[in-house]
Amino acid sequence: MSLTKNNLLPIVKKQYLYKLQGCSKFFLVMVIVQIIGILFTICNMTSKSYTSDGVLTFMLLENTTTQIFIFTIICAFGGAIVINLKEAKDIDFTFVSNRISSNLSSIAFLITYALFGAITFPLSACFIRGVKYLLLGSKNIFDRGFVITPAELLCSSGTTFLYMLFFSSITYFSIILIERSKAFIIVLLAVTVLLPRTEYFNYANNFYGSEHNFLMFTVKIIVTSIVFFLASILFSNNVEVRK
Amino acid sequence: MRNKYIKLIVSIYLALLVIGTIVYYFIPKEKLIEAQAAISSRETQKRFIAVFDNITALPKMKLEGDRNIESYTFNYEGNALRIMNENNKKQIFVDKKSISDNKVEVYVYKASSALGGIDITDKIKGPSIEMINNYLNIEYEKKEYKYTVFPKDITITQFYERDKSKMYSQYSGGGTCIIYIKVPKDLVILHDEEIKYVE
Repeated sequence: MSLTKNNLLPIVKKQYLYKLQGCSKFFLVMVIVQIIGILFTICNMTSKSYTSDGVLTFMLLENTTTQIFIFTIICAFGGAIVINLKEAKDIDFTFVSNRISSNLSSIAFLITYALFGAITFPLSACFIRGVKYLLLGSKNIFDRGFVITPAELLCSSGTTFLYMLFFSSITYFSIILIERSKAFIIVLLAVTVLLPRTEYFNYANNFYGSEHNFLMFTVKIIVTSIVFFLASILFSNNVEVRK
Repeated sequence: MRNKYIKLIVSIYLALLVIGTIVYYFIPKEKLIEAQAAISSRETQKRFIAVFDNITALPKMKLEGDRNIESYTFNYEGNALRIMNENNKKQIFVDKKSISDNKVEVYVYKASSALGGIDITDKIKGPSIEMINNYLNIEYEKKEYKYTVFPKDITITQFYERDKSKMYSQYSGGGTCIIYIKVPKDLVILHDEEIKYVE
């Protein structure tokens, strides 16, 4: 089957909308996972304390949203895996399509999924602060870190989106490789286990994680994601249609 | 689950988050406790030792406005005074004045206290000190101080507060006290626990 360039975009759009409908439970999964994270945070799972002379006890309850962020990133991994599963791919064949349109619609879906995470994660941080304030009142809460300025909220949203996109693209590419040959499972496992022990990992960590300029960070992540997505399209392009 | 239920759940969740965020932005933030960076444990210890070595300087330090010192003055006309220091082993220094002015002055030095790098010295109440008949009661109420802090989200700290975050160590400590009591020269001090006399 072939598609002319002229009707690629309408097909991608149709497939994307169909995937959005068919894979809507992904969004539900992220909602559930984030609600669990919010409950963990509200119930104060992390605290520091010390006792002075056995008389005074001091306790600092830390309401960190890190676990919600990690859960959200795990959803990005999950989304990139599940969109490549047979059930999700079968959606593509409801239309006259090819690998390119299938990949592009999946990528568009993953971008939408990342956008959803980018909206919900920063809002959940504000939500938790609001709930805690209503529960505890002002006299036991330190102002440090409590205030999130609108600029920080936007920054948090952008960073979440970029990290989700980054991990989605890597996972998507990995799944495409595995689809081509199951031998890549061993290669990818080896890379996952060995890479953190090498200097390359530290370099990558510094390259992305230690980038303090938001614009530079955006460029780095977007370029990397485009490379992984393009590689995915190229690698999957000559795979059998219903493989 | 059918799509329309999923849409409904996701919409409710989004609506709750948006409402929560709107409520959050209307919270009067100025009512929150201002978090000041605590001094280091080393500096706290250094100051404590300095006070210990020069305990008679406490009244002067109090006059100079040292916020770590609380003071009490009691009129007392008896010949003997029993110091009760129950349930705690605070360092107590007794200094006999050169005059008999019928006044017992008590100075409490609270070492600086920190919780996760935040100064909480002002939040901590010193021991309650009361004069009841011929007893000077020094009692430390068992108390639990519980505070909540919100570290900035990791998605923000990568770009904001890189240097400011270094201001805060994670040090927790303090809460210890030294008590300095100035008594009239002829007053006899009775005590069950150890006290030190200032020469």
